Amino acid sequence: MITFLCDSSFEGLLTAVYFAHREDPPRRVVSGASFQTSIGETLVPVETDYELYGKMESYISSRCGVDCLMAMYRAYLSGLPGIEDAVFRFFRVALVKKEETPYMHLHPDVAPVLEAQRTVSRESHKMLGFIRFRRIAENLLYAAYSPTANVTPLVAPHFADRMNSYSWIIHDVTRDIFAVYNGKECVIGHSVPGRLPPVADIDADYEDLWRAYFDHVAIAERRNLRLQMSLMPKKYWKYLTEKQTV
Amino acid sequence: MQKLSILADAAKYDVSCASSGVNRGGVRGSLGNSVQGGICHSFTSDGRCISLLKVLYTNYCTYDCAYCINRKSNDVPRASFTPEELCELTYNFYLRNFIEGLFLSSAVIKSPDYTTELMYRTVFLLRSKYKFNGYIHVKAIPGTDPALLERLGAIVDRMSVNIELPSEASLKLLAPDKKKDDIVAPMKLIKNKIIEYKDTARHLRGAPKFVPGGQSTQMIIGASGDTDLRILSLTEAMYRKYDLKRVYFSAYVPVNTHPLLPSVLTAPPMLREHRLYQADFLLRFYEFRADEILNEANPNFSRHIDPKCQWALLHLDQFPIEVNRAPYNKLLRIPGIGQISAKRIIQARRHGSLSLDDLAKLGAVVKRARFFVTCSGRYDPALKFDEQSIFTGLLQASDVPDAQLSFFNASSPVLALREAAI
Ligand code: SF4
Repeated sequence: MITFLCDSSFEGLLTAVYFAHREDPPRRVVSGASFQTSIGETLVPVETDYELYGKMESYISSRCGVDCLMAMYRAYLSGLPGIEDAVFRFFRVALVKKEETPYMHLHPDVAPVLEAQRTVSRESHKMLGFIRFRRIAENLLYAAYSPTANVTPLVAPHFADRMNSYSWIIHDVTRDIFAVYNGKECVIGHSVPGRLPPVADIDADYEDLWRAYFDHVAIAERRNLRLQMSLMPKKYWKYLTEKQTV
Repeated sequence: MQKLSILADAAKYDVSCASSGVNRGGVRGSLGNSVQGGICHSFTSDGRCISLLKVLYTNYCTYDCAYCINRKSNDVPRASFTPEELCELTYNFYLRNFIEGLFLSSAVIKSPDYTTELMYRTVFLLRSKYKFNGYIHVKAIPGTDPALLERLGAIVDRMSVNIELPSEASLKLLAPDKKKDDIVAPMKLIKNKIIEYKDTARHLRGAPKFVPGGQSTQMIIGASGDTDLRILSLTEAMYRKYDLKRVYFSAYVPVNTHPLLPSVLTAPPMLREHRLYQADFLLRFYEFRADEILNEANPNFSRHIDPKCQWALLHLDQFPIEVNRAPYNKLLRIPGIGQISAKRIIQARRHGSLSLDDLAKLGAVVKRARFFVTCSGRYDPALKFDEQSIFTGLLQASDVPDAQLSFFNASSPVLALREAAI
């Protein structure tokens, strides 16, 4: 059994998918982030080839449709164990079924990617609401959060459009990934240029006002903490201003 | 802080919080954009979505509506914002991503015109000086000068007029200062202006839009003796006549002692509100008519089963439906199958015929759907297709916990439906 081992980037994944596809079966794709080798398995490390990635990207979107490419990308962002190989198997189906692939909800090689894509899309939509900025300097906003999937590349464009006259940083604390916007363009990476001021709000009164508002807008007679918890799971509370006790 | 607490408290019974219906990209140098489907920013301890900063401009009121906490004869703390204060608050909340925008309503201070003028000044300031490009929903105060309302409508995303109570009779009893005509007039105005502005925009690119997010309304449930049929028919008429985007229902929370109102010890009719929302969904997205769901013989929803199941039980002659062949609009009629699962069913069956297990994988709620479908001509052999068996089965799958306790003594479904009526 040959297993292609890629780095944790999407570029790396598509490079490995290319090589795995060229081989005669059986083959498998895993990423360096999480894999277990089994007996009789040959690991082939794949070096990320950006030019090849570019070709793969345009090949997939022109031949199988951009929906297939987006499904693969979003599913990849889930970071679920085994997702790299699922993306590879999805790709194999997509080569044959083309635009129809994203509708094959019951196909065993398609369903896992569609499912992962849905989870990621759902979480990234939730994060558009749950991200909390602090105004840490007159013109600089900072948000720390900890999403389950790697949704930073999906949420950043929304804020680049919305907060375009400010500079801001969105920090995925778990993965140590930063989206940095300077008022013109947004860069996603593992570091921030320059030194960050302390991450406290320069006008923290608004955080207190928000907490007060949050408490007062609830109707005591309708109290339903279970419902609240299912809509706003506890794992997100750490970074929600209204759920922080001061 | 005190002020915000008072004016948030005073606005909390208003339910329409959504920030939906407008897709507007950001503008260089302005703060904000708007997303078609709306965004929830938080959820209160009662499980409702917080999307907009929902406050009253003031809770000083010259009116005396019986059901309202802010009525002039109540002794409650009062406060008013200034336009600047509200702008600062909205802008700074938005900047921190606490909210999608502002939902501004108000008690009636001095006169409807005076009140609306203050609201207009606030919104104008927010749009011009603060360059705020986020979502704004305002409540239109009945009795306001149409010209003033038109100016307001041109700078907000959504406008709504509360119809408050489901019939003119209950309005007369409980809100003596409000007249049906005063409520209907601004609704008509909004509808007509939307059409008029759209028409202009067709010929003139970049012409201003009038409440691009459309209008909505809300009514209070359980403060008056109106039946569910009455409420649902009114809802349907509202969608048709005024082209409303949404009708909201608000389970009455007894805040005042009044001979004509439920006592302050009465729990808000949450289940009834829930059923109305379920039925409202059937009207808006499932092509149901109000008189199909309820009628004079059955004027109220069942406590035990949802409106779609209630309808299906009374129309068993239309079932079972073959999931591998039925068109989209027929699939939508099956309890346990929604818009998303119906679409997926149609997509997936192109690649092979579907079983009950497959339906579950496609997102259908099989514990309800199984009573009403055949898969490749086969009805679930574990089930019996008759009214009594299906009713009992549905109760076991009910979304209301106490329905399971009481189903043992519910015999005939139709009788049970009547008994169970709220
Ligand atoms: S007009 Fe009626 S409903 Fe509105 S705030 Fe005054 S008393 Fe309450």
